Amino acid sequence: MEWGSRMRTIKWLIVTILASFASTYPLLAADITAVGGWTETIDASDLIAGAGSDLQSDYYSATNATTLDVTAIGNYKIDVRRSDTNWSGDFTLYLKRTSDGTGSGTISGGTSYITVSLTDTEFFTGSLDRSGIDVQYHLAGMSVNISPDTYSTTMTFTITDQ
Amino acid sequence: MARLIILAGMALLVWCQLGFAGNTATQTVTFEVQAINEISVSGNPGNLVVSTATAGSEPDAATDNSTSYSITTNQSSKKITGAIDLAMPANTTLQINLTAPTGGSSAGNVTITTTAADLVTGIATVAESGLTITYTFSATVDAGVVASDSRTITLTLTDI
Repeated sequence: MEWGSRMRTIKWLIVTILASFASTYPLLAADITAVGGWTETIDASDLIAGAGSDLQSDYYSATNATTLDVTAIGNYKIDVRRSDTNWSGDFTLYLKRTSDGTGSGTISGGTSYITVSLTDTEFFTGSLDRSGIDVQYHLAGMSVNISPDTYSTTMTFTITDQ
Repeated sequence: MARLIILAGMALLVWCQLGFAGNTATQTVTFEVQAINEISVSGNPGNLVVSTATAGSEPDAATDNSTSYSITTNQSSKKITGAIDLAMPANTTLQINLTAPTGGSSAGNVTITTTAADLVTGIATVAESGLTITYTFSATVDAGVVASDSRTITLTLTDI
């Protein structure tokens, strides 16, 4: 095979490899980071009216329990889901966005509580960079029927180009 | 050829940096529910006075059911015990009867002493209030006249 033909073959080979790589790992133009979290201890001081009463059902985190930073070169959406480490079926976890953050982009939705389930649910949408987006959590379903234990779930925020 | 390979390598490197910059972020939400075992009483019962008798019988016992207790626990296998701080005068008896919360089992009238006795057993997660406490004070004729006195009764919610 002549030198020119060999070069063309190698070029096509490289292009094919790159194309295959690109289809497997699509180029992502958006990124998200999250700082913070929420830890709550429930004890006798959370009884509604002392002995004889139940635990209050609802608990709320600080309005800035989690802060999200988004970098994007276009439109995006943020989904959220949870992965339980140890959780009670009686619990319902909600979250909402309590601030718009700052930056060149726009942000929309997510300002009312949504239920965080085990599958992705759209949280909010936006465009371009935005930092300091505050998130608040709400737990419902607590009662004395919940056994003493440590309950934990991991929230995953996923950013997707749109 | 070498230039081509270098270019391809750089393209891959850029792709990797962009492609794996990370499109998810995680946070952890943690709740610790501590053991909660609370019991309280509504107040003190009225004075228990033995003052009447039917001729030929021991004096009539005095009873009081004006007080109640409240209980909250988020654990199972609990019981309530009761004890008084000082022994009762000779030939007198103080009994206590606690209404059991849902799921629990009352021991009925229990003579209370300075040693803790089981009053309610089999208590599991519960939050109830207004559960009646009934006191019964009795004295035999051998007790004679007993001056007014008081005892402190301690109810304890504990493990079975």
